[in-house]
Amino acid sequence: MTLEWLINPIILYVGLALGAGGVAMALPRKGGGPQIVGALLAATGLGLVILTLAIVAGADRPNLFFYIFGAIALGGALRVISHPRPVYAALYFILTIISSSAMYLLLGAEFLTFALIIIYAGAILITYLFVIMLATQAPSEDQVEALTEYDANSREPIVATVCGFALLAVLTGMMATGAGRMTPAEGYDATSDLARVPKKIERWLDQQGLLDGAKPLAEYPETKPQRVLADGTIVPAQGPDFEHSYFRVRERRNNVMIPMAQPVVLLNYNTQAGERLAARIEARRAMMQDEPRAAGVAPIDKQVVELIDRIWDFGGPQAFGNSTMTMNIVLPDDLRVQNIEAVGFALLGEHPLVVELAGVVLLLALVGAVILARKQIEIGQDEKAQAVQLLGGMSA
Amino acid sequence: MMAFGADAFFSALTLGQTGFEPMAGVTLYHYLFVSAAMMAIGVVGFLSRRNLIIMFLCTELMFQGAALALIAFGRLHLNHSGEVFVIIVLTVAAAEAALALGLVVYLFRRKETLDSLAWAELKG
Repeated sequence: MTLEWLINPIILYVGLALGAGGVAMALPRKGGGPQIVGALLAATGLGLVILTLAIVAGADRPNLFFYIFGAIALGGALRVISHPRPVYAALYFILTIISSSAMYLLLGAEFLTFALIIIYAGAILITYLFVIMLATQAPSEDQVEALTEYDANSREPIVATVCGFALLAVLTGMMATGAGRMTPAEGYDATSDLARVPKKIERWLDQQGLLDGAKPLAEYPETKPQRVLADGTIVPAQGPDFEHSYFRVRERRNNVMIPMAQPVVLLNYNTQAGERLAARIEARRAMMQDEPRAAGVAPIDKQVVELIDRIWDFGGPQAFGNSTMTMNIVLPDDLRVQNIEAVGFALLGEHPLVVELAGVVLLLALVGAVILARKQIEIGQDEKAQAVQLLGGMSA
Repeated sequence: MMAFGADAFFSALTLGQTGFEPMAGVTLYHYLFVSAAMMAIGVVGFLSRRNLIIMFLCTELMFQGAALALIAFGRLHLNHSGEVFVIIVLTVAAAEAALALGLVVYLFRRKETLDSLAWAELKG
């Protein structure tokens, strides 16, 4: 079986070797060293690989912003490990964080984009800067620019670079034979996510003035909220969002690509609520046909007019029988589950254990930090004498 | 050949519109390459730098590489499990920063240096 490489392996390994040489040259050593040459060499090597990839990808290549932020992220990362001063290294790490959060944005993970900036750049890195200030001797007046010996020299730069880039070569080589064969998900079914948040649909209908006067499903004692699953079975719906819902929402999980312009949601209406809704829609429609702004009715945008027409095309209330009403409602383009809502569902609905584990990890860290902070540091005789002298001077 | 359309240029930063079209494997590989390179740079820094604080910064770099790969795979499969795992990564990074930096301050007060070679007697 022949391996199918996404990128010519010779170009990949030559680029990585160039990058390794550059990183090894850029690491701090006695007397400065050829840092700029090293950085340029590393950029050439990694840039060669990325450029070849972009040519291979053709129309599938990522957005131009990916190349910009990827270059900034890797350049910042190189500067983190090559800058001799820890404060500057921490600031360059913030640069890396911000540009990798921009790459999260390109990947559609908007919640984590901003979570990363707030948590990492805002909290963790500030902690680092505090510790750098706490754990550094104050420079004497005449040598403010002096570096400590362990900051100016790195330990075994060549061996370390060979180890790191051997790891990189194995990783990228292995992924270059695998990533091309990964089958992407067929398409995104916007309705299956929307079906989990009936409140969101309701809020939209309410904003359009279509739900005025209708009561939540829970207030009709003869019906229980239900969900219609993809295979047609009906299960009782649980959770506050469903119990106060006006609708039974039909869930579609058949992985069909729905045109992004018009996600369609099938709503099963409860009898009484559905009748009220149908009456309202009919009244609205009659009013709009006469005079859209008459009788104090707020103007309704074109989308709702189309929506109401769509419902009437379906046959009106008579078409649905007495027990349940099913309506095809064309939802507007911008009514979709946003990333934050989807992450919330994934976190609490699909992986609730994650929240518990995160809490345990943070609790352990808290206990550990308290134990570390309680440890007493032995003070030598000189410092004790100094402290006694200081206290004596103050009391005198 | 390298011409990028203006629509592709500006479409990426419109919130709420991304994450719906399927992603090709070669697009995924771009992100994986950057994440692996970030990871490798972190490894090099961890092995070669002698300042304890910079060594911990390099572990954070490795975390970042792993998180970017997780998000890219989540985008490929069009689900959000990768993002949930990145939340765990952020939690572990925060816990690690609290504990490791506490240890660094403790070690610094013992020997008045941040040199990792000063603790070389710890090796087995």
